[in-house]
Amino acid sequence: MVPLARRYLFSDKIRLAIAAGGVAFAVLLIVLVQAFFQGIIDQIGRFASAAPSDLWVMQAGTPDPSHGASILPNSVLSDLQDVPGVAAAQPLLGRAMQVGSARFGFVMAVPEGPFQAQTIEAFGAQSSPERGQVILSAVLAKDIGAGRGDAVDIAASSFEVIDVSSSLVGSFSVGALLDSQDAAQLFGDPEAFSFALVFVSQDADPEQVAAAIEDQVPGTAALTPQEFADVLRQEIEDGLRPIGAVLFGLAFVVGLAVIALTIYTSTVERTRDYGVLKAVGASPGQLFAVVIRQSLIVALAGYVLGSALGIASGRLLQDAVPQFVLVFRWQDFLLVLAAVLVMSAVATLVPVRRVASIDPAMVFRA
Amino acid sequence: MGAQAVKTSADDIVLELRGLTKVFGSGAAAVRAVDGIDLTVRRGELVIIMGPSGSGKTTLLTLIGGLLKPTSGTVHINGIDITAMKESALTQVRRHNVGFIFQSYNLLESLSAVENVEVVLDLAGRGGRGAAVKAEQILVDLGMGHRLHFKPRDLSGGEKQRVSVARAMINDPDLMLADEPTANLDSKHGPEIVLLLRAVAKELGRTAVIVSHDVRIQELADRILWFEDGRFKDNPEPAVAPAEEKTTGV
Ligand SMILES: Nc1ncnc2c1ncn2[C@@H]1O[C@H](COP(=O)(O)OP(=O)(O)OP(=O)(O)O)[C@@H](O)[C@H]1O
Ligand SMILES: [Mg+2]
Repeated sequence: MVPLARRYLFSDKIRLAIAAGGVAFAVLLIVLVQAFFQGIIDQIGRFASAAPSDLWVMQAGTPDPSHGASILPNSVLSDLQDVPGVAAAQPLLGRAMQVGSARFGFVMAVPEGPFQAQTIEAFGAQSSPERGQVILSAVLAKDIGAGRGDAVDIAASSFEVIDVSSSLVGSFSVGALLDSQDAAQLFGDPEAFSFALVFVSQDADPEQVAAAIEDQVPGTAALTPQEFADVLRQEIEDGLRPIGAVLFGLAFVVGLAVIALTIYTSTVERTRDYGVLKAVGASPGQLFAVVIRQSLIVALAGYVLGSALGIASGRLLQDAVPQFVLVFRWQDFLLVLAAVLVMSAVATLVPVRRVASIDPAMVFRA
Repeated sequence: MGAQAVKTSADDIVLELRGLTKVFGSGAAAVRAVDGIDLTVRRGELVIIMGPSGSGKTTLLTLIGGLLKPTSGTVHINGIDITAMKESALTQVRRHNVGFIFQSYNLLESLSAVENVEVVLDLAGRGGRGAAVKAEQILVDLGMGHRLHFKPRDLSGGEKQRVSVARAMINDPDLMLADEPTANLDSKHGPEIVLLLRAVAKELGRTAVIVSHDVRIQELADRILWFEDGRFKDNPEPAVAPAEEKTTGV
C-alpha cells in the first residue's frame, strides 16, 4: 500500500510542523485549563471531605467558606447535643483572611472538644500550634515566601511559622492552622465558632440527623461531607464553566482553523494529482480517505505533542506558581482527543467537497 | 480481401464508437469538437489518430476513456456500453479496462517511480504485499530497473513516460489511451515510447489508441486515422482485419 496521505503531508515538512504545532497549541491550552480547573475543584472538595465526622453543620446560607464566613454562637453546640441521633459535636474555626502577602488564606483552628485531636489530624497536622504560632500549608507558604521560623502577619498580629506541611488541608489548599484562642481573637468573637463537626450515634442515619438538626437548631445547615464537597465544587464549577467554555471554544477554533487551512491548501495544490488519481481509477471515497487521513495525522500528531507539552509545562508551572495545583485526569485527555477528532473531521468538509468536484478530464490539459 | 473473408469474433473488438458526438457550449458559440464518429478497433491493434491542434483529438480520447459524457452516440469497450454508465461503474472501467498515458506524464511528484505504478494497484483493490513487486517487475521490463525509487523530478522525460506506460499497463487493461505521448520527447525517445506500446499491444494482446500530431511515429501504427474538425477525413471504418489495413489512409 502506498501511503499517499503520509507522502503528501511529509512532502512539505514545514507546513506539517506548523499545522501540528498549531493543533498542539490548542491541545496544550485545553489540557492546562482543564487541569487547572480540576486542581481547584479537587482542592476545595478535599477540605469538605477531610472532616472525620458524619456531618458538617454551618450557618445557614454560607456553604462556601471562601465567599461568606459561617458564624455560629457557642450555644449551638449544646443545642446540637439535644438533637436525637447526635453523638458528639466538635467545633471548628475557619475563615478566609489575608495571610502575609496572600490576599486569600484560609485560617483554621480546632478548639477544645470531644474530637479535637482527631480533627487536627484529619486536616493534616500532627498537633495544634501554641499561641503565637502557625502551621502553613506548603502551597500557602510557597506563595508568600515564608519558611519555618519566619514571622507571618495575619490581620494585625504576627505569628511564628513552626511548620510547613504539604498535608495540611485548607480551602483551596491555602490553610493556616492556629491555636484556637488566637483564631477566635482574629475572628473577633470568642463566643462563636464557624463549623460543628457532628458525629452521629451508631444506629442513626446521618441524613435523618441532618434534617433533624436543621429543624431543631434554627439558622443552621447540616450536610454530609460528600454533600458539602459537592456544594463547594458546584459553586466553583459554576464560576469556572463559562471561562472554561470560552477558552475551550477559542482553542477549538484555533485548532480547527489550522487543520482546515493546512488540508485545504494541500488539497488545492494537488488538484491535478487528485484528477489523475480519479482518471486512473480512484473512487471519490478513496480520494476522501486520502484527505481525511492527512487531517487525522495532523490532528493526532498535534494531540500527542500538545498533551506531552501540557504535562511537561504543567510540572514547570506548578513549581513556579505554587497556587497552580494542576490535576490531570485521563477523562480530560479523552475529551480533548474527542475534540481533536471532531476538529479533524470538520476540517475536511470543504477540501472533500473540492476533491469531489474535480473533473478528471482536466488532466489532459497541459 | 473483403469483409466476409475475415472472421472476427465479437471478442476481438475492444473498442467500438457509434455516432460519437461532443458539443461544447450551445447556440452560435457551440463547438462540435467530436462530430458523429464511428470507429472499430480490434485486439492487438495500434491505432494512431492524427490531426491538427484543436481538431478534437483530446476530446475524443476523454470520451473513449469515460472521463467525459458524449452529447450523443455510444462508446463500447469489450462490448459494454460505457456511455450509459453511472460514475461508480465508470470508476471500475477506469480501473480495469483502460489505461491512460498523458502528454505531460501526470506522475505524482510526491511518489517514487515504483509507487506511482503501485498506487494504481492499490486503487483497484489489488494492493498489498505483491503490489510493489509487480510494479517493480513491470518497470524493470520497461527498462526502468535503475530508476525504481527516483522521484519524477529526477527522471528524464523519456523515463517519466516509461513510468506512465507502466502505470497504464499495471492493471492489465485491454485498452491503452495515449494523448500526445511523444510531444515532450525528442526524436529518439518519442518513437521509443510508441515502440514500447506497440510491443505491449502485440505481445500481450492489448489495444492502443494514440492521438498525436507527431509524424515521426506514423510508421509504427497498424492504422492511421486523420482527424479534422471532429471527423475522420477518410472513412476509417475498416471492413478488413488489422493486418490488411496497415497502411491505409497514409
Ligand atoms: N471543456 C471544453 N469546453 C469548451 N470547449 C472545449 C472544451 N474542451 C475542448 N474544447 C474545444 O473543443 C475543440 C477541440 O479541443 P481538443 O482539446 O479536443 O483538441 P485537440 O485536437 O486535442 O488539440 P491539441 O492538438 O491542441 O491538443 C477546441 O476548439 C476546444 O477549444
Ligand atoms: Mg489535445
